[in-house]
Amino acid sequence: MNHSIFYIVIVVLMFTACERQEDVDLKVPYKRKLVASVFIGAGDSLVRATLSYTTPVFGAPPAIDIRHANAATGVMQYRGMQTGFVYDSIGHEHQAIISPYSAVAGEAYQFVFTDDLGSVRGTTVIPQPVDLTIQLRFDSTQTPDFPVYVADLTYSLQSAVSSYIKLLPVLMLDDSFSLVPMVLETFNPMVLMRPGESVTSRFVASASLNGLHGLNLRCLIITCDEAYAKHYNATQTVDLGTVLPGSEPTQFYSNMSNGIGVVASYNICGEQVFQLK
Amino acid sequence: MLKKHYLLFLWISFTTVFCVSAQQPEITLKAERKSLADVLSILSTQYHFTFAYSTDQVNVNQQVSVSFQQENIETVLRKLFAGTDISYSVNGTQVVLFKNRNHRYIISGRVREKGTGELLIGVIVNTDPPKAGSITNGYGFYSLSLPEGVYQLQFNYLGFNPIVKTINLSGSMALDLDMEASSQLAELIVSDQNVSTKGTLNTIDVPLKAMNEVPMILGEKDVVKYIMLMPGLQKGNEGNSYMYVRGGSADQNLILMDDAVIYNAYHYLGLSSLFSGSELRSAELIKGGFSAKYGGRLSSVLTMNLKDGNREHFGGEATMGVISSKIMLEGPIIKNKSSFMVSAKKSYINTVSKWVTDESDNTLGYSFYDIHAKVSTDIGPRNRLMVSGYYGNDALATGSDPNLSSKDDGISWGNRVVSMRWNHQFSGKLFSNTSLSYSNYQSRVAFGTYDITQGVSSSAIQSGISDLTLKTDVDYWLTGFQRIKTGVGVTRQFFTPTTTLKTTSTSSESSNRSTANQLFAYGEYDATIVKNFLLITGVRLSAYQNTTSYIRLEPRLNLVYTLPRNWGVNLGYALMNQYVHLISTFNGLGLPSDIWMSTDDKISPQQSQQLNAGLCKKKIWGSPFSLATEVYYKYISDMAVLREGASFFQMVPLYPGQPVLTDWRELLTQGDCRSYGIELLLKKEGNHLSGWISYTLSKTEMKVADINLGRSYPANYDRRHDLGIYLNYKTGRHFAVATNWLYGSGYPISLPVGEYFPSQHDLNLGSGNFSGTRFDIEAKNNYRMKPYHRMDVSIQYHHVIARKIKSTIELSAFNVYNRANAFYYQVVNKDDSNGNSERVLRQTSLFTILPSLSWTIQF
Repeated sequence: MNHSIFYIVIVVLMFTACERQEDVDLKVPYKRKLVASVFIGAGDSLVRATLSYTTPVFGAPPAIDIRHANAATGVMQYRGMQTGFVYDSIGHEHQAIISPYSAVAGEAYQFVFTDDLGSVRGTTVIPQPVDLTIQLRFDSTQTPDFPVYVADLTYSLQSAVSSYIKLLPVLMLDDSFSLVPMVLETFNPMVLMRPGESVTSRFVASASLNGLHGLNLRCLIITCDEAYAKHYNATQTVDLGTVLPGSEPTQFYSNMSNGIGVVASYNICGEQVFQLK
Repeated sequence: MLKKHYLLFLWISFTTVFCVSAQQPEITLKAERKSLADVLSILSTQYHFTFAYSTDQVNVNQQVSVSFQQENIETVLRKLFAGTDISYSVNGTQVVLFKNRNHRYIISGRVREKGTGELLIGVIVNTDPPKAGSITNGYGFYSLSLPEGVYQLQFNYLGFNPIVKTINLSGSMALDLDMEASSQLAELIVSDQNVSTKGTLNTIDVPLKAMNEVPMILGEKDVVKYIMLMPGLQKGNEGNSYMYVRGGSADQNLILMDDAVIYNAYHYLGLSSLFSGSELRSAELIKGGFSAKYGGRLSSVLTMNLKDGNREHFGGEATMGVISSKIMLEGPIIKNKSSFMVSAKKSYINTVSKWVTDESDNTLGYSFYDIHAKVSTDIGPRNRLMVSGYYGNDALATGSDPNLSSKDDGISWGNRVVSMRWNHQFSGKLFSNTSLSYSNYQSRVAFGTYDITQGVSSSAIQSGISDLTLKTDVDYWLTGFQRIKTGVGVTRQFFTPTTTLKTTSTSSESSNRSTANQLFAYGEYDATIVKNFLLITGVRLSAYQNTTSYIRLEPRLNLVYTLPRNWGVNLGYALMNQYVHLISTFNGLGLPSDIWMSTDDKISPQQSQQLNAGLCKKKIWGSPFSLATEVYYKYISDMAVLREGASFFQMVPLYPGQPVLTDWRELLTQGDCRSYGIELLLKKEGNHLSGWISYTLSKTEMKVADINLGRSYPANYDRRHDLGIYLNYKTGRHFAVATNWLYGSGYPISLPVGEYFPSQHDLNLGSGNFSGTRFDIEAKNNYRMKPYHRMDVSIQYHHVIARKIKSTIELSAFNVYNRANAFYYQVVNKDDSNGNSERVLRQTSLFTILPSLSWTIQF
């Protein structure tokens, strides 16, 4: 009797332990789309544009040539004028860097990309410069492993118009060209700041600088259009989700009609340097 | 010669001697729309009764229609004057009629189960013919207000033999009753005046005895799992124990055990809940038409009452199963006055699994235990005191490294609950319950690593919520079929979501502790205002204070109308507010690591409005089949969900100095949810073959500003079709065979339709070092997992071992056709033997076919 019960228990546990895995096909279709990305800055004489295709997710990796656009053309429209793109095929995508003229803050630019799949287009308005005041609270700590530099930057928007703001702080040594970009402590989305509004962000650098002389913190002040902000925020969350398990899926922002990608603009409108020691 | 204000005896004399007899004659009489005077005259002339009355008090011109077939004079008079204010007194052949005085008297008392003394909830009490009615409340108490007179009282309760009592009411009286459980199916007789919400799909009463015949995973009987088989609740969730009710999320269900909140009622992977049924006296789920008594959750209220314990003799129940055993003992402390019940359940998965795995691996395993206990006592005829408690714990050790203890690398969670309740009967029509309860839920998820030079390093997330509640509920019975319920209460809640990092040299902790206060009050009026029509209307006021304050008013309305030929319709509206939020830590997999958060200045309360309408039909074409259907529409605002890209690992430092978020609220955003659907339940009652078909067609979609680009998307738990079929066949007294088959549409899942390389031209704004491809997910939850379905069967053998000792042996199989249902999906690279790689979607399933054997004895 005891043996019988023991046998039953063992059989049950064998079944219990049978966590199964199997590959399934949920009939997710591959939808080939044009992917166009354009980044244009105020005062820049360059427009950086990239054109590629989406490729299938499931199954064997596609041959490289599926990523090539066939007979792609690109056009930038500005105040009724049109400038054609000349593409270089680099690796698995087409990249174009053109210099029609310096982009002007407040002006609208439209980009149209045409391929054998059709056309995609997107528009951006170059953001106006902003007036920002920045306050710094800096601290450095020597941990058992390495020094940690912490900068709390409080910035207030003084301009009369709401804007998407991004600070880019880097640590610099007086006697060298060494730059250590400070990493935002955690994910902090690029938010729309209202006039008079203040935001505090903490930045941390954990590399050893071995600085014998002065240490400076240089803050670049960047304002972006809404498309750039949404693209940036999505990029941040996707990048974070790639390294952290259990992340919620992220929907990428796109302002390209009939395709995916982004036409985004920015304005690097100033910098402030803090002498730390 | 008739004079006012004086009794005038009108003698209608029949003086023949033979009519005076000690034995009353049997009366056969049929009168259609005749005056009362005519009827009395017939009774006098044909049956030789003499009637005396005053025409000031008795209107003999009123028309009556009566039909009697060989009835005695008492029955004839009772039926003749039923529903009137006329009373009578019979002395031989002399009958005196008189008008009732205006005094109304109260009949009140408690109804208990015969043999155990357990209080019965929901017993229908009414006069025959219907003049007043009542339903026993949560403490078995009822009250009727009636004028002086003679009445027949009917007591009806499903599964119990009905009782009819004749009462000569000449003063307020207490009437306690014991009802006997029926071995046969007893039909529930409901008066057309005493309409109740039972029978609609808004309320699910769990038949605790019948529940034991439903096959469940590994033979583990479970109240929550049984409820999930009903329409409006999702039935099949692989490894997920949460309840999803009418499009509501998992945290929107208020689970009460003897008035105390249970924050996590489930064991790991949905193996079972904390309640197996043997320790319970009643269990009921409300999912629409909510009483104003309940608040604080949006989608359902599950109320469970522990057994008081047998007040007459000792008894119990013991079950030995494949993964756990349980025992329940009950008995009197002082016979018929006080009693106890204690129940304990313990798993031995740990012990047995070591026989079949590596015995040296002593850190791997899972175990749980539950302890329920209750003591109740009468303190005089008007007071009753009850103390209940629950203590339980789950522990899972991953066994990833023998140098790591389960505390360093494992999951543990548990509830501690105590409630003390005091019933006080102020009078025959005023009843109160005052309760003081404390609930505490703690969970801890730890991830550990071991390095020979660095030693043990462990990061952990701890979730904690406690509340202390003091409340008073008062029931006041008015005349006829009316009742007023009111109550007031206060709750203090403590939230302690915490993350920790411990190494051999350092220790750090980050906590978002907060404390909240809640005050609530409600009033409700229940009445059968006209024949067949029940109105329940009420309002609840709640105030919540944390870092900011909210005051909300919640109107409620529920209408039930019974129609001829066993038809019934109902309509309900409820506005509900919820001030606590459960934050999923693993893509809604329903793991105990989920975090309870409070409403505050950053997180708004959730609010829902639900409108439901139902139609039911009993005894379709005279058959034992009944059908109930309900449509609902629910709109929820400010539902808290995780932001895109959010992961709880953003909160957990894995090494000293790692930058992490310190505020859980940073992971959250809020949006709106809309759900609507139709539910159907076709049920067959029978002594041999019984069962049901339960079906729900529903749609639940979310709309959150910063998720899915602000577009609507299916909720993670949206399920279009949900079907359950259950059949039970009993052969004789010994064998019962049962089976159920469940089907559910696949849950939504976000899958990419393409991938591409990101542009390398954007500014590097410190966005990290990502260098892979990006997925084109066209929309959140754009595809569906494979449908869920499975079949379970069980065979039970019932046997009486000795006097008062019953045995049940159950052989069951879960998922008999070995369906692989999805627990989760992963996109993975698969390499073949030639070194080629391709990307595939891989499904992980948990439960294959699981046979089980269990043995239960009742004594």
